[in-house]
Amino acid sequence: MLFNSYSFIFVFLPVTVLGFFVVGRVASKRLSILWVAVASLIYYAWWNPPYVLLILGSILANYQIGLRLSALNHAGRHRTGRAVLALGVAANLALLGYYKYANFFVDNLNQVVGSSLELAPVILPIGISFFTFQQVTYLVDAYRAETEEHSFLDYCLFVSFFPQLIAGPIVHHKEILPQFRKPGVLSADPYCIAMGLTAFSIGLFKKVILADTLATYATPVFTAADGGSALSFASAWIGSLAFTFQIYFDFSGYSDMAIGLALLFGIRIPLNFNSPYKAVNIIEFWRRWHMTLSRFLKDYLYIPLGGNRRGRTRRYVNVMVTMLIGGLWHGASWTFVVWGGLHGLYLVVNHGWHAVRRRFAPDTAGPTAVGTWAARALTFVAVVIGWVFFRVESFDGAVSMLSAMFGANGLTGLEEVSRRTMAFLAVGFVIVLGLPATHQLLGYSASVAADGPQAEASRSGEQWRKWRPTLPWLVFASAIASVSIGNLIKVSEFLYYQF
Amino acid sequence: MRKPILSPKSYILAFLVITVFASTSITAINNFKIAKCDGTGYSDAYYLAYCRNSDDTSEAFGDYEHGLFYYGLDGESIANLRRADVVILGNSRTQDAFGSQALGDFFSANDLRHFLFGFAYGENFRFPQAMLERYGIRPRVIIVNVDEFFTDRTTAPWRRLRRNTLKTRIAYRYKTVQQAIHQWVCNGTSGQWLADQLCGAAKTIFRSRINGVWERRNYWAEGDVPAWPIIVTHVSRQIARNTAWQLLPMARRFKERVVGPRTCLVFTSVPTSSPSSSYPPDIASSLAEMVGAYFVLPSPRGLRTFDGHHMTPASSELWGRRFAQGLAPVLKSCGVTERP
Repeated sequence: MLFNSYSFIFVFLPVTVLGFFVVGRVASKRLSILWVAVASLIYYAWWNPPYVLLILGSILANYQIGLRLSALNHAGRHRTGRAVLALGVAANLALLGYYKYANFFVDNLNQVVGSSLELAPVILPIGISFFTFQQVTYLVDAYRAETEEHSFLDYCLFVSFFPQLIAGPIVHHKEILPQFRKPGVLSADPYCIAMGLTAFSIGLFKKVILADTLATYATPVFTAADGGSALSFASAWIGSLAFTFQIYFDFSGYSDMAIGLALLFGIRIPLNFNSPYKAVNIIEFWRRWHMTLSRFLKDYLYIPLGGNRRGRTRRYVNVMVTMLIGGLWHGASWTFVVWGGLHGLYLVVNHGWHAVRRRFAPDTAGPTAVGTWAARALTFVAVVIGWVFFRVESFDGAVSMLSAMFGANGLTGLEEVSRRTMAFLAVGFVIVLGLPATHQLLGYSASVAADGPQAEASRSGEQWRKWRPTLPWLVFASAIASVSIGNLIKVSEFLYYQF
Repeated sequence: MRKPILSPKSYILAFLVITVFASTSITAINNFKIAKCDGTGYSDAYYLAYCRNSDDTSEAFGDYEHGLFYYGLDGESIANLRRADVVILGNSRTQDAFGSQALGDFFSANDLRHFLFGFAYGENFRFPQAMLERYGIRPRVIIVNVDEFFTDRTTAPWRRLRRNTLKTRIAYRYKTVQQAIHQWVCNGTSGQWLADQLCGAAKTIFRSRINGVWERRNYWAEGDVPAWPIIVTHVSRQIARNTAWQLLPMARRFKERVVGPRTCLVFTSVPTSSPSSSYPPDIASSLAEMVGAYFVLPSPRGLRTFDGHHMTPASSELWGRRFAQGLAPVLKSCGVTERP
């Protein structure tokens, strides 16, 4: 059941939200949490009922391991704690490895050693990459004594909460679990509901109208490239640009919908996008793109590897390792690894460039407007090239796309570009480069769900409530929601569902 | 000037009301695909069963007849199906071959009510079997065009209906609403301008509520029916028996589920022009023998199809006359036409 489907919008969501309010009013907050947790598991089971046992087992096991880690920590038995943590993390990664990478591993092993091992096809449980990372984070923090006491029900909802279950954001327990105890959270707050409906509408519009339309330009080009067709210069660029915008609108649309849905229950989940194509370098791009994954990779992979504390060379190695693993996380294919490696290389070059500038021109004034736009353009083109590896299904497809983009087939096909295509791509450029991000429009502060005294002050003072339910917002939100729902003719999956 | 601020509750209420109304309207307009269909075949006895774009690239309005029976959207059709003494099953080729006046006259003359219960999309036994079971239909005679009838394939409309999603339920009911509007507009009640906008010329099939017969529109130009000669392919007795043996479990299951102890089961095989889709009658004959069904196969000369698959109206008349001749002794043998 996808967010952009009639069954979700007209059945699942109203029933879940109304039931939640009714249970909360006539019974208790605990029962309303139970209601949402059960609804979330039903939401998961809708896709493949037996797999709900998998996620339930994972939640139960990780909760128990977390409790054990906390107890060992209190008892000062750190060595045992480390062993339990290693076991817990290994079990999580083994589950992910089996479902996501087993066939990939066997295929590659067969190619390398010439064997003919075969595994039965494994159906990838949707969202497994997300809920695995979420729970690994929890275990590591339990080992570090950075978790608070909470019930199984709270933990279950933290992992299975349906707005973020399938494709993130990868929420941190410190962002969610404390909210369950706060008054006003998990209750009917008309302001949050109004804002949530608006955020959901924006996300739905991004997905249904923008991303799905752009897919009609991108998909045929990449299919042709993978099929071995020679592409024209224009079609290769149109395809790659269309996919660049498609994946942004698709994934950020999903994240906006997730934020909106969570707000219906009074819960705030972290931002995942902050106008990434406005970044002026790759380092900034990764601070703006899939922010919760970047945070996870930084805090739980890059820093434990040594981060930048062990010299420049080791730092660059750590960056490369982190990005290669980040690439592989997206899918069991070498094209994803190359995509991650390419971004790792970009980051190394970017850090190297900063080091050179610090050394040889430490007092250089800030960039000019022209310089900023040039840097933005360079970053954008680098990202577009990266997306080619992300989208193709074979390296031959990538070679076909990139050679056409760099003019190997001549500057051909320009005369065949329709006005409609140009207009749609221009709209994409205007939105990603010229308009504010959804959270900026809504005043949904990035810090509201973060930890720390400043965020706490923000929460208690309700300073994040800058958005106002005005008449123009009503007209805008209901118009884009209506257009989007009115065009749910062919429901298409979110790109990040497969990860 | 400060923008007026609404209370959050008013905002939510207004948002929901506007969105539900506007999105329903947009969906309804976007899905008003019937505007491409021919609207000249409606009457009290006929509804629009199927319509596709003339360029054959997409379905346009698509299927309605499957949903009509599955959801019980037309009480008269179902009542007539229930009352039928003879039910004829098969694919779209069946509909054209058995839709003749000659065959209708034969059944009337024998005081038998018949219902042509074949479907487009190459429908096989699965959907009609489910419907016969659902409505508890036990006719005195069941005639099956074995041509691709016993296959494991699930057709697209039956797949959609079996999933029975909210979207499918709404879609078929909305098609009922569209028909009512389309009929009203295309019958000239609403004025010419609206009729020009909403009454198209796509390939359209109307279906009789009385006996399930199809009426095609725009499949050929007036008075210019294309004609492809019929090709009957034959296979050896051994191949026929082997193939029939493979189909036997499905045929037996079908018989167990829908054929009553007193029902007369008759197999036949409607010929076609395309060698690739031509179904050897030898297989149908072998299968009939294995299942314990009668087998009737008229072989008149000069049969034609208008598109390589479906019989022309003239050929249908010829086929129907000959089929009636072959069926008459079978009905007597079954005791269907013997009067007390």
